[in-house]
Amino acid sequence: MDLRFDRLGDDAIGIALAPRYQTVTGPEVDVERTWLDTFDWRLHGNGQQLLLAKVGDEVRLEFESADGHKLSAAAARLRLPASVDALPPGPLQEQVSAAAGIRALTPTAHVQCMRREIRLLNDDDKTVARLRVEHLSGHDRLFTVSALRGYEPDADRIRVMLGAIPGADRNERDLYDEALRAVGRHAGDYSGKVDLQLDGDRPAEETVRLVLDDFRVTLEANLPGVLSDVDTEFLHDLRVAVRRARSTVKLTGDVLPHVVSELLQSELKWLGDLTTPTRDLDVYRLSLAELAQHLRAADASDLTPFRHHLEARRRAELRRLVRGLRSRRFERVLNSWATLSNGDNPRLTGHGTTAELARARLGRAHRRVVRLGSTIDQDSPAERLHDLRKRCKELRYLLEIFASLHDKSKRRGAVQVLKGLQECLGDFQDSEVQRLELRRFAAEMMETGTTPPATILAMGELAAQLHTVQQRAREEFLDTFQTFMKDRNQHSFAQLTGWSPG
Amino acid sequence: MKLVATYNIKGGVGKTSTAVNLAYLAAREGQRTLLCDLDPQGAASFLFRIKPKVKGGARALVRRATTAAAAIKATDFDNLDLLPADFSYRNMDLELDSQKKSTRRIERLLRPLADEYDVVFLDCPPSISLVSENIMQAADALLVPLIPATLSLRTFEQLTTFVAGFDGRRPAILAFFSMVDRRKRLHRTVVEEMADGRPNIARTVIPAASVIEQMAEHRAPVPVFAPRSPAARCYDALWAELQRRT
Repeated sequence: MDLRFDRLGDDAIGIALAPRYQTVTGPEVDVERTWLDTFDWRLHGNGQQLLLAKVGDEVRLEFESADGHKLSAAAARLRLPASVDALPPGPLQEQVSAAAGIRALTPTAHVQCMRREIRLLNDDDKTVARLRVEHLSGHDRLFTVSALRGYEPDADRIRVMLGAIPGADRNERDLYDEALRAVGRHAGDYSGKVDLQLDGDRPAEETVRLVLDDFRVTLEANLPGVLSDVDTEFLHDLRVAVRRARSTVKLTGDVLPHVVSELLQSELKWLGDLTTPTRDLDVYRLSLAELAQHLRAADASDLTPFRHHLEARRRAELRRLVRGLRSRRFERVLNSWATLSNGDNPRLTGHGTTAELARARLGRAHRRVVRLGSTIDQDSPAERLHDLRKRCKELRYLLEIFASLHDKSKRRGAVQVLKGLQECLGDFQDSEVQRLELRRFAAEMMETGTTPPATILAMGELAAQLHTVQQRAREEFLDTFQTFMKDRNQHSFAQLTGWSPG
Repeated sequence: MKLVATYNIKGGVGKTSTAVNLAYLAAREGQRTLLCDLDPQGAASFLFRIKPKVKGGARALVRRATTAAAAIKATDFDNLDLLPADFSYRNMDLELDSQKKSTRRIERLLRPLADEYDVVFLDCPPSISLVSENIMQAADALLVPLIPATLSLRTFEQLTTFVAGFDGRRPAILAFFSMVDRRKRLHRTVVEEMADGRPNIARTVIPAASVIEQMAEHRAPVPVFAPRSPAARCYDALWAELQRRT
């Protein structure tokens, strides 16, 4: 429990505690707190907090886990935004890294105040608790009593003694929450997941506009991170927003005016194509370390020139992407997207309710998956599996979009079984795309005439690995699809779409 | 969790001051650190101004797995906790002897703390006994302060032979010279000759310095009250070397 006082004199603390504790007051220091989290609040999601605290000349990272355990580390040279690799090595970095993964740490809120620390000593001159006094604004001062392990009864007693001082209030406010509110934010205000609360009775057209607007907001939220290249996941989330929007237009766009859906369809395709090369290179860079671990004949270090090549290519592709995202065309796409979502001239007639739309389109998307999947056998060309993957994605997006209309447990069953199928198809297609790309990269690097033969050989081994992964995925496909088609799994879909497998 | 024990059969060679200073340095760099004061004299507890008292004493500590966690106290320094000494630890041998697997009891009592601490220092009483055998069985590394005297070599060799006789896991051993007075020819000679060709003797040497003796007066680790002293720098170097070599 923290206490907040208004107009409390310094002497009052010493007098209130004097019967049992001596106080040793530290110097007043300027404190700047900058809270850090990943853009998608991974630390907050784990109940953790990370703070960059500048106290006087000292800069430290302070980490608190969900169970209240605290870690700190000196961080004088940390520049923000920072990848977890830039944190000082040690337990704090390990904890943050486990939660943040590949995402960068970005500032979420900032507070500046003056602070004094008062140590409270027992008869042996041992510190038994710490009292932190912070001048927040005006006369508002925050008193935080920190218990030391093994001396908790002292901290409790101190809180009671301080609480008895006239003017003390229990502090119900959290400093981090206040700092976030001051900049118009709240913890968890961004998530890459679709979280739409739809009304089944609402006209379908209105809902489609609302859904598309949600994807536009996600895209715009990620745009600065892509332009500044903060971490790879900004582009990932931006692309997912574009793909979800494309699928929405494709699968439900007929409820919108034809000219609008036509325009969005072509412009979203352009946007998807614009972002693909950089993302493909990101995927390669992120998976290279894992792929290199499985090399047998070659050494992981043989791939260093390949890594450099990927990085050089990515720098070039990123420049092209940034030009595209700063172009007039992109501006026009966003403007027309925003206008559409604002609901200019909605017709709101003739397309039924949202619930009817959800049932019909989920049913159609599901039937497409069943129909196409049932025609695939061991000898089917790769393109058929790629097509099926696209149909599965469309079905998944619809399940996500209309999630709030469905019973959670029924939907979970359908998503689980679809996810299994998507993973198998993903392994199949990703390994093929990566293998073909690898040939192209090898050709480019050979042309330079400076690539060591060991690198090309190692890349050949990577290609063989990818081929094995693809073969395995194909072998597993029939079993995975059979699982998907099991009665109990199809029943999950039937409950969402009203479709009967019989 | 890494367990480091400061051990020597002799007393007054710098075990406690080493354990206290290195534990402080580990905590200062952010490692969650516990110092176990297993010496009934309670010097480490005294240095941190913590009462040398554990509820139920050695008997409870040896018999109940929950006793250690409940007895731990925070020091005045972030990330550094202490399991205090208790005068009843003088009878710890008897308590250990009455238990099954009597040479593994200390390892078992520390096991529940593995999630809470990154590094645990065990400050051992000077003796060769069931307590010290327990400590050697539990430790990942034995840090052995040696005073620069001819007999130190014999003591050290006895210890390495004893540890080599363990079945299964054995702690790494790193000895270092402590209380070295460079003005004394004997000290210089012993340090040079003993360190030569013995990879388990550290390059870092801790000097005989009044600032180390002043720890009892300040009741704090050397880097706290004399951060720029040569002794503080030597403890820094010893901690770095210990981490590098074990």
